[in-house]
Amino acid sequence: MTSSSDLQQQDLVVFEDRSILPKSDPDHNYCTLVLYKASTRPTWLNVALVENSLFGTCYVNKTPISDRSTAPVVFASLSVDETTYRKQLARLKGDLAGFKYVDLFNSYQDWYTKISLEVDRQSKLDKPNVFIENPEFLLFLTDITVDKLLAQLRKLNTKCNLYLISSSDESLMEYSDSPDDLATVHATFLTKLAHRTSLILSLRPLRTGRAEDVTGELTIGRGLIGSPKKIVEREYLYLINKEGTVKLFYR
Amino acid sequence: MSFRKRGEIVSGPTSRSVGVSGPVIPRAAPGRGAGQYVSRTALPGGMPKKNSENALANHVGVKPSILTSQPCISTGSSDIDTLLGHQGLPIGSSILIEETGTTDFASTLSKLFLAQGIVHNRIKSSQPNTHDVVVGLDQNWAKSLPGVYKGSKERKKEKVQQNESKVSVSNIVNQNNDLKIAWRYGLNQRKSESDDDTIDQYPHYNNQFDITSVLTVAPGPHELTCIPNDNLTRALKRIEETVIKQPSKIVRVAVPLFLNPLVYQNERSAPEILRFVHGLKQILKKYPNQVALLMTINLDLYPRNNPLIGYMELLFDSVIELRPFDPQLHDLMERVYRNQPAKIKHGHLNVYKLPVLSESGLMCVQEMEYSFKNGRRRFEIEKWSIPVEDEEKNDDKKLEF
Repeated sequence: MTSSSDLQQQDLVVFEDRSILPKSDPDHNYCTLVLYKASTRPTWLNVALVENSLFGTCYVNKTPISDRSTAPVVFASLSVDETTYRKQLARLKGDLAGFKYVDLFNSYQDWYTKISLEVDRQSKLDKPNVFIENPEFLLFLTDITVDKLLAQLRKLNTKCNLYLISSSDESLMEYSDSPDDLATVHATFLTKLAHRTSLILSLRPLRTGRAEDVTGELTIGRGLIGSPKKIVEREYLYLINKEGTVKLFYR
Repeated sequence: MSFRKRGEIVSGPTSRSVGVSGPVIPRAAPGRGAGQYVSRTALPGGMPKKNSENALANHVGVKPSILTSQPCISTGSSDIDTLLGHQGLPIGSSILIEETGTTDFASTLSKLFLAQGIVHNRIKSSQPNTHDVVVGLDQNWAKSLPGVYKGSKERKKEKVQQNESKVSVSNIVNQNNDLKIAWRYGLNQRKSESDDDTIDQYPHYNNQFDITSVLTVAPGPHELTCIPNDNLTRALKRIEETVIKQPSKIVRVAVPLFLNPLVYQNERSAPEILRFVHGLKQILKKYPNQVALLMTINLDLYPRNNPLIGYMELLFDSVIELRPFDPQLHDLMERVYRNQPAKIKHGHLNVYKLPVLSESGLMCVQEMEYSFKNGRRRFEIEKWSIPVEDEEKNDDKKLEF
């Protein structure tokens, strides 16, 4: 059996032109879904995507990215506070003026207005990339329904590229007879959302259990909406160590 | 003229004296006082955080994480502290202890967590430094918090000290003799030096508890606040009010037996429960240098494949599960280790999330890798190894030559 030490480190590539985030396209707004399991949190991937948007670089990649493009980032999370990401981003050693955090963790009631205002503000510079972590929490923190939440996310997507980060644990993905059951609501939300995305990034632990030299698997796949740029569908193994360095290997 | 003996290493003046100076932080910046933690990043909503930083200054029960240098507190069990990777629970973090079966080992851990806070609080009676909060249970339950374990040597020492403190002729004569001998041979100096070497850098960080005893003075309302659970939204408000009232103290919040029908008699909807857990996390992050949370839940009522538990695990920083052995395995262990009863464990301990590490993307799931034993003096955690039954039969064959 091959271990990660036998494999060559690879770069993170999402599109055929070797880019990670799409260049600003006035005619098309991308909607990307990042799925993860509880044991493989996507913090490192979110930081990589934010870095790529802000500076055009990616700390995961060894090869420098030649064709750099930048765009402001609006980031909102319902599961962690600002400190978590600020700490991670601090090591990027760049000017984080283009990174705007919308605090939905502490106040989520008027979430749409808050994000929308920030998007409008950033749009004056360039079309922003908007990240929303765990939007499904709104389904039980507020009285919003699945369809209404999806409609508002769609409305937001008309103004910006949208990255929705959501949990896909088995316990949350089982339909039941009760329409109000948490798992039914969550699974309905994700299924409907998957039909509106052009790109799906998925993180999960190894099916064979824990390993010292592999943290998990990253799968890049097409969503159900076509993308103007061709997506390179691929599976990576990834390894994170306690110092925070990340290595990718082809599956 | 010096009275120093030849060959003795000349040492500088020792400023450190036990119980006076605060803990020294490894890698602390020069000029920063011992025990003073400074947050690295500018945090939003500054006011409560600035106030709460007072709680850490010179707190005897706080030490930096060996992984991230974040200030940590002991959970009351040194083995759990080690398991969490930081040698404790980082302040501002939460731990969820899940338990399968009809046992209630998790409640013991809740009690240890709270008892450790009370012991820290009583180190200096003039400077209380910790406050406990219990949700759902009352002061009667708090009376059963375990007391600090005293070994036979310590008990003997206490007796000797009590006798010596009594005013008697023999005591006075002995004291004078000790001083003479001490001066002549420099014994006093040697004793203090050897003490300095052996005392840990953080001597009061954690204690060993005896779960068969109780704290000699039961914690009162000034040390432990009990918050009823009849209305979870109100409970959240009261927790935050308690934290605000204790700006210079570490606040340990325990939510034992969460959703157990014995304690939570009113039926609650899943969104209401999740709003409560989310609210607890908000409080933790609002006061990141002051509050830590421990919650226990029974998985027989809400198994891990229940979406409610799935969501709750997403919100907690660390999650461990206590899974007692089934009767067959327990019988096997008793049979195999009948001559070594100390090796008999009570169950498996599974790790699902670890503070900070899981958040940053490390995969920390460790199932069936550890076993635990709830002993009188210690909650032991060891690497799990399958007991092997010795099948050799004691044949009564005697070799005759």
